[in-house]
Order: sequence, then C-alpha cells, then structure tokens
Amino acid sequence: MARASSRLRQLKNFTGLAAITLLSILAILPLFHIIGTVAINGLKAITRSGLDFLTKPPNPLNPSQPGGIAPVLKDSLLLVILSSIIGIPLALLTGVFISEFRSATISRLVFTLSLLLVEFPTILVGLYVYSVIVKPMGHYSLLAGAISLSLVMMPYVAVQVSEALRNTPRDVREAAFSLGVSRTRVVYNILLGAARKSIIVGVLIGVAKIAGETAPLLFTAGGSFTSQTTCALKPGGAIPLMIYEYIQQPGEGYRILAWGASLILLLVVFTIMIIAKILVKEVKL
Amino acid sequence: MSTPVLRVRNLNVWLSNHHIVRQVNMEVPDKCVYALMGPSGSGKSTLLRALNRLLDIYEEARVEGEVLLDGVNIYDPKVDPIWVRRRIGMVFQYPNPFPHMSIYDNVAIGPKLNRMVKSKRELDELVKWALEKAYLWDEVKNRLDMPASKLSGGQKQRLSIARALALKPRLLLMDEPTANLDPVATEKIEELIVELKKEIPIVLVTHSPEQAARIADYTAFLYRGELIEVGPTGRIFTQPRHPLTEKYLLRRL
Repeated sequence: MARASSRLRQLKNFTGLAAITLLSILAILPLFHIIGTVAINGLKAITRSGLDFLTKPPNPLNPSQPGGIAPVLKDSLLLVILSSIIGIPLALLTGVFISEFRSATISRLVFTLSLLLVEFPTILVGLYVYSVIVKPMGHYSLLAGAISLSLVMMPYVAVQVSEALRNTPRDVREAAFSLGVSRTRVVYNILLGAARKSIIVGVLIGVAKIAGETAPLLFTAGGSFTSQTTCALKPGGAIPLMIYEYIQQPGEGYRILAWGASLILLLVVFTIMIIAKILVKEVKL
Repeated sequence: MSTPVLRVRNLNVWLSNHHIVRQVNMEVPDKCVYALMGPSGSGKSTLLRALNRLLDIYEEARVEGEVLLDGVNIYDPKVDPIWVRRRIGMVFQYPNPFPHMSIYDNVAIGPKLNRMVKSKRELDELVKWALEKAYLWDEVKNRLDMPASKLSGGQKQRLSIARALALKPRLLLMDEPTANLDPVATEKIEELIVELKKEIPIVLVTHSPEQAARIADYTAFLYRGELIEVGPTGRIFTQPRHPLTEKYLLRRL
C-alpha cells in the first residue's frame, strides 16, 4: 500500500517536472528563434560587405555589394547622445525629487505619472513631438527625434533613480544625516554616490531602450538613410527606422541591409544589457 | 554632579500613533558614559534619535518636550536641526561607513561638507587626529585610499567613530555600537569609549547590562518607553530601588 502510493507520488512528481520543463522550453523557444534568425541573416548580410558595412553608405540597388549603414549608424549615435544629454539630467532631478519628498502631493503625482508614462504608447510621444516641434520648425530633424526619445527614456530612468535612492540602507541614510548636513547635500554628496551603481544600471537600460525605439521617430527624425552629413537640425535616420523602411522595400539589396542592421542593433542592445547585468552583480553594500 | 551637558525634560515621542517614549527626564553630566539599558522594544534607540533630532527625517515621528544641550533647547523653533546634528555625533548599531568611499573620505566628508577646514593640509591633520582618537590610525595609515567596505567589522565601527569625531562633537550618541561585533572587537571599542569620555560625554544605548556595568558611570533603565530608574552604575547594579530594575538585572523580565 505504502509502496504503491509512493510510486504514484513519484509519477506525479515526474509528470509535473516534465510539464514545467516543456512549458519553459516553449516559452523561451521563440526568443532563441528570433535571435537565431537575426544572427544568421545578419551575418550573411554583413559578410557580403565585410568591414564596409560599418563604414560605407548603403547601396541597396546592388545586392552583390550592398554597401553599409554608416550614415544611419552616425545618426543613431547622435540621437542616443542628444537624448541622453536632454533626458538623463532631468530624469536624475525628477528621481531625487520623487524619492526625497515622498509625502508631497506633487511628488506623488509625478511618481504616478512617471509610472504611467513608462507604459505610454511611444507612437503618441512621436505624434506629440511632431505637433509641437516638427510642425513649427517646418521639417523633420534629429533634434526632434532626440526630444521624442528623451521623453520615452525620462520616466523610466526617473523611476529607477528614485527606487535606487529608496533602497539605500536606512543606516547609511541616518549616518549621512547625523553629519549635520542639509538634505540636498546628503542626497547629492552621499546617497547618490552610495546608490550610483543601481543608478548607472537604470540609465544604461534606459539608453538601451531608446536605442531600439522606432515609433517615437516615425514622425520626428525624418528618415534619410544615405546622407553623408549628420546634423542635429536636419532630418536623419536611425537603425530601427532603417530596418522598418528597408525590410518593406522590394529588392534583395534592401533586405540584406535591413538584416545586417538588425544584427548590429541586437549586438548594441545586448552589449548594454550585459554591462548592466555585470554591474548589478557587483552592487555590494 | 557638575552642570549637565544634556538635560531632557518631559520628552515624549510618537511614531505614527504609537507612544514610544513616555515622559522621560534625564541629565547627562560632562565627561562620563551614560548608559541607556533596557530590553528590546523599550524605546532606547528612538529616545537616542530624539537627542540629536535625527527623528526629524522621519515623517511619522512626533516629538514633544525639551532637550537642552548646554542650556539650549534643540527643539526650539529657532534652532536649526542641522546645527544640532553637527554638534552631536552619532555611531550606529551596524558598522556603517559609506561603502563607496575610501577610508580617508569617510572621515573627511563631514568636515568637508561643513567647511570646517581651510586647506588640504588642515584636513589631512584632522583626519589623522580623528583616526588616532578612534584607535584606527596605525592599522590604516598606509591604505587610506582603500574602500572602507574592505575593513573588518570592528575596524568599520572604529571608522564610524572616527567619522563622528572628525566633526569635534560636544556629545557622542552610540546606538548599541558593539551589537554586531565579536568579543575582541567589542573589548577594543569599550576601551575606546572609556578613553573618549575624558573629552566627550557619551550616551550609550545597550541591550547588555554587563556592558553598562563595565563602562558606564551612570545607568538609566528604560522599560516600555518609561525611564524606570537612573543612578550611578554601581548603585543601580548593587542596590536597584525599583522592582522592575531588579527583575531586569536578574533576567526575569
């Protein structure tokens, strides 16, 4: 009797484990499939151009020598730098404000709004920037794209900064206050330093997030993928935008370039994420 | 008893709606160790944090009554809590040097932020002085740039003491400073406390009556937020006047 029930238990245990394993595999399979597809197609594309892929402008009409994505790479870099310059300082200030003046109504309002904005449809951010910046300026520009991206990044980074500050140990906070310095100095000279790694991680993930964003750029950045000059006030491209445009074009050259660009984007985002992951591991107090 | 450094009058503290410290009156004389002992949850740490207005940083805390530091009521609306905390140093239960700073910076940050020194040389001297006072200088003088997080527990606690001393405080508050240390490190900190009291009076919170008996000149017994009995340590331990004190010392509470 006892043996039979034990065998039943083992069977149940086995089926349970098997079901969980199977479901987990099913869940991560699409992810591996995506990465695999991008890697294979991207590698095929990049090997066709070699190093030129990073240094030459695109030449989609010649599939045997499709050129590269150099202009878009430069534009994307400028976009990320500009939006970081606009977004990170503001997000830091907001994050400090949210965490240090927690009970003030306005700070709670800002916090709730930030949480909401993190999940906000980014295409609406693009539309908004289109109506307040692109239209008055009369043309698309990388600056408008950068503002759009910074609006996407800011709420996320602000929430991360406030969480990082909130998670500084209570005794470190008390020790800082016990030195007889003002709240501003406690936060800027001591607590931000103590929480700096979590803050850097939040900022990095924010940057990775906008590096791959497409929707906020649709009506703001323009979308020229061949121009040799990169200027903030002129229209420009971005890697995700190029992928979006090129993959829809007929002609093998376009598709090759789009796949190659996808792989580069994937590598950039993964690198940032891996750096963030390593930093998270190092956070010790 | 000479004029007290710190005089507490009718002090009450509420956290949220809990009445944590009830109607406490006490006097801390100069050049002595004044121990606050009592079982956990008796309000010792909260009382201590009311003495340098550290409770101000918690919105749920409410304090009533007077705390006079050299005759000045630190809860007077005209008094700046930052000034109070600068005059009254504090050491905590868990050794807590700032983990991202070097040994040197941990000691230097207080004087630097308070603009106490005019030159780098003056700061160097102050840091050395504080580390010497905290019995740490000889162990760290060759590695002042090392992150404070690499020190041992006892060293970290002595660094925290040096950090507080660097501000040249009038009074030092210690919240169970040896609760997380091994016996050897504890002994060293206790030696240090006895040495320091010659210049700076110390209010020491402890959950160990033995520690109070070893190093305190005066001992106060706190129970459920009320100050049950105060007196010279020897008298408290040999002839407790209140039955609760006696029970506590006999470990029957």
